[in-house]
Amino acid sequence: MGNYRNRILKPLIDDNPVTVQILGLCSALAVSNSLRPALIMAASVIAVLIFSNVTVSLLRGLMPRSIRLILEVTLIASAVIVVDEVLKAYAPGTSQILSVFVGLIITNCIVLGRAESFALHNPVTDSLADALGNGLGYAVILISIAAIRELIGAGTLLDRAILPHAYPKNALMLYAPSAFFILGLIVWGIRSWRPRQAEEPERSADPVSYQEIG
Amino acid sequence: MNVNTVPRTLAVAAIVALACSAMVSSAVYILRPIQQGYARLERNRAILAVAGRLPTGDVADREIVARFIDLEAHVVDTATGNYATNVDARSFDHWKTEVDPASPVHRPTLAPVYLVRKDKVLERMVLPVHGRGMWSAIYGYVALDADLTTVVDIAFFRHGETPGIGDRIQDPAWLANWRGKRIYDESGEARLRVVKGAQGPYEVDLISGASVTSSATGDLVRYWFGDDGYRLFLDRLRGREEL
Amino acid sequence: MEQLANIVLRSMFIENLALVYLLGMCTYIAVSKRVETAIGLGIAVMAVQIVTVPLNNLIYQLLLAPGALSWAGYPNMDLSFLRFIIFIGVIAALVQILELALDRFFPRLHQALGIYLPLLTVNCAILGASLLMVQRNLTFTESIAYGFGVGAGWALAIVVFAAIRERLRYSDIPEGLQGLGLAFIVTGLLAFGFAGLSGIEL
Repeated sequence: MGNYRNRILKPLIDDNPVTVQILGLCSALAVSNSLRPALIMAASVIAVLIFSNVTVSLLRGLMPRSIRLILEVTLIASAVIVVDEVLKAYAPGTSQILSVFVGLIITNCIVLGRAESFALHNPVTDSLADALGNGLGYAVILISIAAIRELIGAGTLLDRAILPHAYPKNALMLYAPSAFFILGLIVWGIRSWRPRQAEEPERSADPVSYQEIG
Repeated sequence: MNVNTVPRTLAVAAIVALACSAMVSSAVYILRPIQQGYARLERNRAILAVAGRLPTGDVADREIVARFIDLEAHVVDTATGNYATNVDARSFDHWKTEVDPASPVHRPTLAPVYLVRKDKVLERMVLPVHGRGMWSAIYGYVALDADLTTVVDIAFFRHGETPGIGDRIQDPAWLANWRGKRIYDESGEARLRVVKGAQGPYEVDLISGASVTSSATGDLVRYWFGDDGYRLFLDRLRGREEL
Repeated sequence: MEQLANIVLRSMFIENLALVYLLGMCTYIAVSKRVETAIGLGIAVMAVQIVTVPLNNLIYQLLLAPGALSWAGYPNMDLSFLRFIIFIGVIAALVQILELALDRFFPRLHQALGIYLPLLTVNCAILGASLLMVQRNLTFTESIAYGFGVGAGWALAIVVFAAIRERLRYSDIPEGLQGLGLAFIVTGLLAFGFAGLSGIEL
């Protein structure tokens, strides 16, 4: 039981798919300008991750080497189609805001990444826990960015006014670049808190590149 | 068991393909009616809004359906200018058969129109319009006054234009510019256009930064009220004493 | 003709996939440490886009769009929900072919790109371009222009970013910001620059 708890909690900070594994960036940045689409997107990714990890794990003994990748992509794509249709039926307004990004969950590196590197070699319950952990790790980052952007950009959260009416809205927050800035600052924060995650500086005097510049 | 042999590979591929197809097809089959219901609701809401029959605030879906059924609806044959009698106006979806709105081949000649009366006198008429925007097809409804030439209200409820830029054609502040403009001039020509620095009753100011999308709305309105659209029908109606 | 040039310019700058739509970010951040590899990846992405977008357009118009199957006698069929899986299948096949071609004719580039070449299959920018093409109802010739534009735009973005990152090696960066953190902020500034183009309608 402790093993499962660990597997679910570790990807939240220590092994976060977005800030450590550098996966799933596209939607974390593009869908995060307000909280409601971000919540629905996070739920969709978690749903697809769970389906993908569980089915790949169940089939791991049966996958022929030559078609392994396309089989995984087929399973993921089918799950995404179902999620997209469900959203179009029960949350049509948000589905239009998310537009192509629900379909792009197929190419979300986290989903395929976890399937290939974990679900393919591990039993079903472990894969389920892994899916949940990574999904929640992704959700934590996406929701943090979205909450900050909506609050500072529009003064609302979930379309409900939080900041006073006189608050001058920061329109930069509604544009794409702000997601990058916020994510960069979040990464800086996490790495200052957990210095183990910080990267080594690249070699500054590289004779080859000197030549290229000169 | 060695799965890497050719027959086993094909078998696994076939089984996964079948299972996924079944899953996806059932989901779509079950959910499609709900999705279509929503699309119809959205359309009816737009019609009621320009007809002046949509109450402010949150309106229940059932209320929208009820008010929509209350509207007087007819299907117009633009080629003859008369009502088509063998089509049920309320369920007729003339956009469903539209493949490419810009293509002349697929242009439908039948379109549903909605009449708003007060004490049996015609107050407003709602007519559907659509056409090519910058990136996508734009669909909307125009509400005309009893003189059948002055715009009372207009709404563009479905399009795929650039978010934040082209979708400003849905901005109520800009749409209000259309109110009171006249579509037809004295000679009966459809003259309303969307241009920069609009002056007079036949011009609407275009949205700076969204010039292509907003001027496209003018083009599609002019097309649908011109000789290929409702002009024949409206001329006939204006001539008759009893509308 | 003017319409096509319009589409190319729009998709390259005003609606740049990497810096405005934020697609293809994983590879964008990971493969941008040297300009040479960035150029190679950019060209690979362009090649895949310029073939897959028009090809997917044809498939969509002939088979999947609502009413598309009227030539086969099924005018009421709407198979557009299958576009996700069909598009990704086409992309996977094409990337495989590209990989074989590179291995045969440009082995150095093939080795430099390494794992990132097969990863092009799941690059959001490539699937995203096809999905956006459907959303916009482009005709066949327009989709060729669009494919070229988005590919060139993405390539431009990654090469510029790689050039900046190479320079950054000479900077004194706080420890927590090193690498990924600074990469995000720099990309944010680049995206900021492109956001300035957003009001323009040609």
